[in-house]
Amino acid sequence: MITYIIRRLLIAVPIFFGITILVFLFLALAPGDPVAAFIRPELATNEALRQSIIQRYGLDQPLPIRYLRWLAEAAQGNLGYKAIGGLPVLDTVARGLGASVLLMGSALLIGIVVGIPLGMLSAMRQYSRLDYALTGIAFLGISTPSFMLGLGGLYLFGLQIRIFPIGGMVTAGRPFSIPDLLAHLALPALILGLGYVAILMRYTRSAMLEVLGSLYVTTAEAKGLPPRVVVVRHALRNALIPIVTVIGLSLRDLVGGAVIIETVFSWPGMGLMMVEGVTARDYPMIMGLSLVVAITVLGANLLTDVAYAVTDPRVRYD
Amino acid sequence: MILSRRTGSRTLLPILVIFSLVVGACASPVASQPPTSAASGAASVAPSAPAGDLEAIVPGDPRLVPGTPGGTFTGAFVGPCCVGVDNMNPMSAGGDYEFLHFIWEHLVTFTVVPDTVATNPFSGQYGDLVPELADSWEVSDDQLTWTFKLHPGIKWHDGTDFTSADVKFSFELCLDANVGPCYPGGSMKSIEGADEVIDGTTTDLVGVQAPDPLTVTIKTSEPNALLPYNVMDLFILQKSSVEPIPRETIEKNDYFRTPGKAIGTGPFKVSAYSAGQSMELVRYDDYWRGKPHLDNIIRREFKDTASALIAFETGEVDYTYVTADEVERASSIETGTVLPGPSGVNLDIVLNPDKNEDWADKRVRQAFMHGIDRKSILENIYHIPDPTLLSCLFGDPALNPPDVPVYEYDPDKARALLEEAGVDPASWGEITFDTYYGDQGSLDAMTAVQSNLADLGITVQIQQMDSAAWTKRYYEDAESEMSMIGGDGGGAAAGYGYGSRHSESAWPKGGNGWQDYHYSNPELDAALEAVQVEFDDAKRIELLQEVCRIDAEEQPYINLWATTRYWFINDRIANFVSTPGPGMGNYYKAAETWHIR
Amino acid sequence: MATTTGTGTLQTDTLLGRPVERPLARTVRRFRRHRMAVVGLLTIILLVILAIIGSEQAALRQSLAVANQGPSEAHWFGTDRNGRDMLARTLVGGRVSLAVGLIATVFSTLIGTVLGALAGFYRQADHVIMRIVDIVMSFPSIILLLIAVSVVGPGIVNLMVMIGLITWTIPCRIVRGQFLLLREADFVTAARVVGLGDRAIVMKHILPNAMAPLLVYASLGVAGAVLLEAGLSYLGLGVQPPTPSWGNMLNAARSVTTLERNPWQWVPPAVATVVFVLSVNFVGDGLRDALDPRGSKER
Repeated sequence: MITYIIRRLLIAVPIFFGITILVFLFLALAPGDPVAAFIRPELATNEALRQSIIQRYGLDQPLPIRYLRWLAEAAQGNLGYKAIGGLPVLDTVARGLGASVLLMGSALLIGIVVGIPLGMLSAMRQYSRLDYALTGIAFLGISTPSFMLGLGGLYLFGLQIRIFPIGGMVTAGRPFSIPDLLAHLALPALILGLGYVAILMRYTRSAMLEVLGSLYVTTAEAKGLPPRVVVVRHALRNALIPIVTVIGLSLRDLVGGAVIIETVFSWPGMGLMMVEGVTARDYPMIMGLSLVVAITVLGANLLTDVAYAVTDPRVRYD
Repeated sequence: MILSRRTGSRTLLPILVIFSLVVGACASPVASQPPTSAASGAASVAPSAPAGDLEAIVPGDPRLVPGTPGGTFTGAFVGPCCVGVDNMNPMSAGGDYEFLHFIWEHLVTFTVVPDTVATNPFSGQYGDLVPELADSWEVSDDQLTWTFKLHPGIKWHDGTDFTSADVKFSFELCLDANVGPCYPGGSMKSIEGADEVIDGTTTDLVGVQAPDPLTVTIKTSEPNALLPYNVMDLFILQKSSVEPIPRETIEKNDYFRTPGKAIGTGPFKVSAYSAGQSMELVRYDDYWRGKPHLDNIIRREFKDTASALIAFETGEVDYTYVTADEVERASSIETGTVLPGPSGVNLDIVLNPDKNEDWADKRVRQAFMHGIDRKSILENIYHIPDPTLLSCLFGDPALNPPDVPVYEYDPDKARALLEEAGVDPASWGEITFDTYYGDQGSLDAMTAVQSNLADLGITVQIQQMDSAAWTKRYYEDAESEMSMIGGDGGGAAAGYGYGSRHSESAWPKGGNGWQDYHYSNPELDAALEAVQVEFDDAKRIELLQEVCRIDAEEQPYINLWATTRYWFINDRIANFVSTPGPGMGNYYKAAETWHIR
Repeated sequence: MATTTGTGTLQTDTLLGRPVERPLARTVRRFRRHRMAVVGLLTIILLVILAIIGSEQAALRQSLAVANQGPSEAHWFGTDRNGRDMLARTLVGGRVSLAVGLIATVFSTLIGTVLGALAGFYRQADHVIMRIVDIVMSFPSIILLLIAVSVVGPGIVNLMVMIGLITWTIPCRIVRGQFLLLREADFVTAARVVGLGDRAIVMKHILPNAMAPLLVYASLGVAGAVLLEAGLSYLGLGVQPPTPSWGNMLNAARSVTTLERNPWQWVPPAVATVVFVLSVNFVGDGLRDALDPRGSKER
């Protein structure tokens, strides 16, 4: 196992660089450039303006040079500056990371804590009314567009019943406090959490059904173990692989999943930052964000693979 | 992993062009209406009154009611006007000017001519120029040198004196290519020595001089009657604090966002900043127009106008933007008043004659004007009751000659025009109708246009595009066939159409046309040039009418309609003056008199 | 098990001399026993039929004067913002949403399953394929979509392909996870001992056991694809106005006014989407039960 992990970490390095090169390359291939994003039709076009932007981004340089310049700066910790507002990319990405992890992490946690047990319940009571009810609610959650859930949530629980504040991470103008942050976090996290509950519930239910019908369980029942012990000790462990897979895949969302919810709730997360960055063809921002995403994905996938081996010793990689 | 649409409304950066209502040097005096006392907040959309009936709101206006100091105003500066709380550099902002104007000021500014009958809050259209940092301005006899007299006794936020050196410095900074984009600089070409500063030969702008601390002279290479409009959008920065910053690093510098660092002359100064979330301003006690009433102004970041509207309803924000489809519901909200105003942006359809030579015939363009039911679209999609239709680029009736062609919806006439021009739309095949607009209202309008055109036998296929990709397609590759754009609204700062229609403004130098193509009409050129050098306001109106006449006849850009925008203000704020106006948010908003009722 | 002789596969299978159902017949029989699955399948067929018979003309005919009106005799589901009939639009909108939902997901599942199976079964393939997955997962998909639009053009087919190319990593890792586990299972060892080749082992033994989470992914993926189609239209992907899809009809509801005052403009496409996705889910449930080699709780 240790050798496996080391081997994976070693190969992660060139993959990581490969990702940055690809992102840079593909961004350059996308139609339009930062100049195009700055020059809006309503604004008076100005040759000096265009030239200043071309120079600022070094757009007249060949692609490899531009990439290497970015790389050299990044190695020294300088990720450049945002196109709009001139804020340092490093600070902005760090802030976005914090906001995203807080929001998506809470949502994922809700999904795990609520979704998995509900999935187990659903499986044990397959085809009961409870099962169908949970299924129905789950699919309601994931088939409804997020902006509707978001706006609807704000409308119902922010406006009609004034439980939650509207938008932002904290109340502007007041000193920072944890309860204030939690109050702002609650609604978007719950809405996103609903999505994860639905997802994890479905996968857990399916995995449990697989296992409940299997020979291990029949054997355990034959041995006379009470149902709950059977479930928890035997069924769940064997059912964990797909659940672990899905949770591992969801880790990527920690660094940029919920663009629409971030928009509706003005939550300054990485999802929206990436979309805004791409719209503006903001190279420094996109590269900075991609760094974080790449590290997260590589890490999450490695973690998941290790988790497979830990959960079920039969899994071997060599 | 779910990718989603970014936001609903396309963020339109305000244009350099400002819709201007030129009412002449002497506004016709109107009996001043007594201001209403503290209202209970009767809900309304400010009813429209004929423009010019009411006096512009000027500093010291008697309609601005007195009030007690204190209180916080929270605004969601969201929508087409604005980019975000991080966007604080007054030179390169490209938007958010309404907010920046709390901190920094201009030499001159526009007034707002209210549409409402003496109801406080006020909204309306742009009026004429009024003094801001400059008390007065006049041009020399040879029409080349303008002298601006600065208001004495103005102090920067750090207590030092504001002088003409700051003004000269601000001009030079804006034209310096090293500082990055500076949008007001696009209008300053007529100043002597501007080109040398732009190409980096010198940092000294010879055309702008500061002979004494309270006087600034601006010399133009040729007579330019519109110079005050050209320079009005420049924010004046403090030389002593900005000059030491190396020019190439100004954009990345946190000067403009940081409490204590950002120095302006405006009624409020930066007091707290939370990146991506909020910007707080605090009252500047020694503001030159008098101590402001409000304690604080807070700007909250919103990415979505619908959520901002909900925040308005709960009382979390006092000021936000509403889209046309939300206006009716907003009007029924008792705590606020909807304030409509012209955006200064005209919705235009642009046809590319290089893609289809039939479109070079003006009768074809006129056919479009007759063939699209603009009134119905404005009434039913934009919810504007009794709308006025554009004939030329100027929406102001005063700038339209009495005999200007009126393009009523008349499909038969449209077909007749097409026949007369000898073109058969069926031969055009399916035309790609592209746009960068992504908001639902614009798409609904385009769908209605598509339907109207289909009745004429013209088949168009709507194609939304990412804005950078669109810009490349339209401007650089010249691949567009038919496009829906937000075009020149005919404002003064961009030369009443000069920047988009004069052959000298060919892209990329100006906004006329695209790669290897620009619209060229010698008659229109002459008319536009005549406007630039006419110093008599009354005569200029006649010349503008001539421009309008030609534009209405030729339709180089098919002038569909002038878009209206809507702000929404909580009635607890008194003396609120606004217009959802375009470019530069440059108008006297009486911010120092705002207070809580 | 098929028995081969020199003349080819025998038509009937036998085990210990007694006739055994062929796998396909058995699957169908077990599926039909699953009530909700049959309901789901019929619902999908019904939605398809409704989508086909829906009047395209009515869905596109605008009449601005009657915009935003509630249900009435003339318009059973009311009208939308351009005065078009909501009922017709909901029906016709199914064409795009059903197509995108099903085809994009099938495409994504196919790619993911093939690559995931290879990765889970062969160690060398695992290294390579998983690194590709790492790269694709890290990549900001919008950039890919922008380039795709500019290179291959807009349109719904391209959109389906693009959604498939972006989302295949999920079923891939799911299937691979299952294969990693099942590869070591006893019955696989037994099959090898008997001398079965890789393909047979995978197709007949491992894959059926790996289907369960894949079918869950399919139903979740369909929901995602339907919503994604509308979300990407601003880039030029998906369908453009005036063509309706449930997704873009829902997008038009992105205002408090519509949510609060014009429910007829968003409830029909919302209900249609949920019903569609639920149906796919039940079909998936049924398939899982039907394909379960261990036998199922027959209903």
